Amino acid sequence: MNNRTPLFGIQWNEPLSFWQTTWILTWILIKLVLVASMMNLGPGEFIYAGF
Amino acid sequence: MVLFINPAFWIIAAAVYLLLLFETPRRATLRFGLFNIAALAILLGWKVAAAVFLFVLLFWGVLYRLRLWLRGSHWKADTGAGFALILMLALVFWVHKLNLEDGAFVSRFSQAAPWARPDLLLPFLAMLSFSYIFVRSVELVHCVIWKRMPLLDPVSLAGYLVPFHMLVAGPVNIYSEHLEMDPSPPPAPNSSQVLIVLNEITTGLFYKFVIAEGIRIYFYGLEGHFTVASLFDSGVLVVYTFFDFAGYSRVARGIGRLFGVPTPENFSAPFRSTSVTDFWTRWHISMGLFVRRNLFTPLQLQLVRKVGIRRAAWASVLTMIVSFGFVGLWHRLSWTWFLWGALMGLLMAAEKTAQGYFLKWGWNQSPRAQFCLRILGPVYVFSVVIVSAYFVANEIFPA
Repeated sequence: MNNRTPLFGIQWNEPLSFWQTTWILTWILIKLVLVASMMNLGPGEFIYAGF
Repeated sequence: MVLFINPAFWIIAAAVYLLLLFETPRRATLRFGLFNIAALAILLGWKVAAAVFLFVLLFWGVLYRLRLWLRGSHWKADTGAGFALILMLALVFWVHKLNLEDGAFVSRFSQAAPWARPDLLLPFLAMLSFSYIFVRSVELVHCVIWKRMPLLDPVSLAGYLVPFHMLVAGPVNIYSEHLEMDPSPPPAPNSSQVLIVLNEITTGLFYKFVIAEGIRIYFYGLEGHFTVASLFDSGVLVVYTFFDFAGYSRVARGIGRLFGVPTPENFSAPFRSTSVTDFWTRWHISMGLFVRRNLFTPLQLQLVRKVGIRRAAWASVLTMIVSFGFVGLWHRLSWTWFLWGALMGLLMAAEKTAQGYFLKWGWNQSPRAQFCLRILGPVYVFSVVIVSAYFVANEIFPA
């Protein structure tokens, strides 16, 4: 079982430092914003228009 | 994937996580099984949840009676009983697949056997992604009848066979790992681990809704559907399928980790594979391991016992063809898909032979050969996958 988080390289049993927590939270937020905006179809139309 | 955009799903997942945090003397499998049935009832309706429980109860009853009957019996009786059960499951699976592949099948089935209520049965099987329940059921029969592992109670068994967080499309969880939840339940994740899990879940959502959907919209339009008319289309389809499938597998795995329910990994950088054999250990991993546990290894052992160790290599080729032929038929009941699987098995057998020669010539020690393999291997694998997908995808996405 792969217990290492890609991108951040954090082990499952390793406590997160302040900066790691900040980075992960920011990254989660970015992904959620992108997912939410894709669901609104705005970026979808943008992609379909060929950027 | 509609399930993951349903807010009710996330509210239920959070509620199950919080409920599982409470320490009670009850077994972990039973607690999850109970919450799982409640979750199914809220998500799919109480009638569907009741039907799921009835199916599991019936299956459990058959297994329970068989175990009593087989106590101290000859191994041939175990084999016969196990195969009879798998045959019955295969019959349901066959009907389910025919329904998915042919829209007119329901009406034909209704005319031929109205007593079976196909109008209720077939949508029920489709809603639950029965293909995955089928493979879990086969694993259960193998573990309980042949390997004599303990049989869980019906409520806990529903948590193994129809886990709500793996409803969309797997992964194929392992029965022995599910049993391990009772003697050694995993500790509840701490705040850092919850954050890691949230990162995994959001990555899964990002894969599916941003990358996979972005690819689909870019190439086929907002309301467009896949058509595979060229090798380029096939390449797009392979990349799309990876992000789509790996996306919901990651979401399911993340939720499973949060619950402490063993949910296997399904993908591990498959496009970095240097051989087709390597590719199938990185793509849909849980299915590959299922085939290895329940088909490849038992069949290979039996064949080698029959033909002798000298012909083990030929037995291995045959086993590969049969195992991957099964994988092909599991995807779709057609000769094209069976041939796809059988050819994959044959290709892997050829790779094994080639690997033997490379070892004999000492190429595995040469840094230049290693470098070439690292560069050309993924190109070769991607080409094989695209060409093979082109021939089979035509059946699902005709031009």
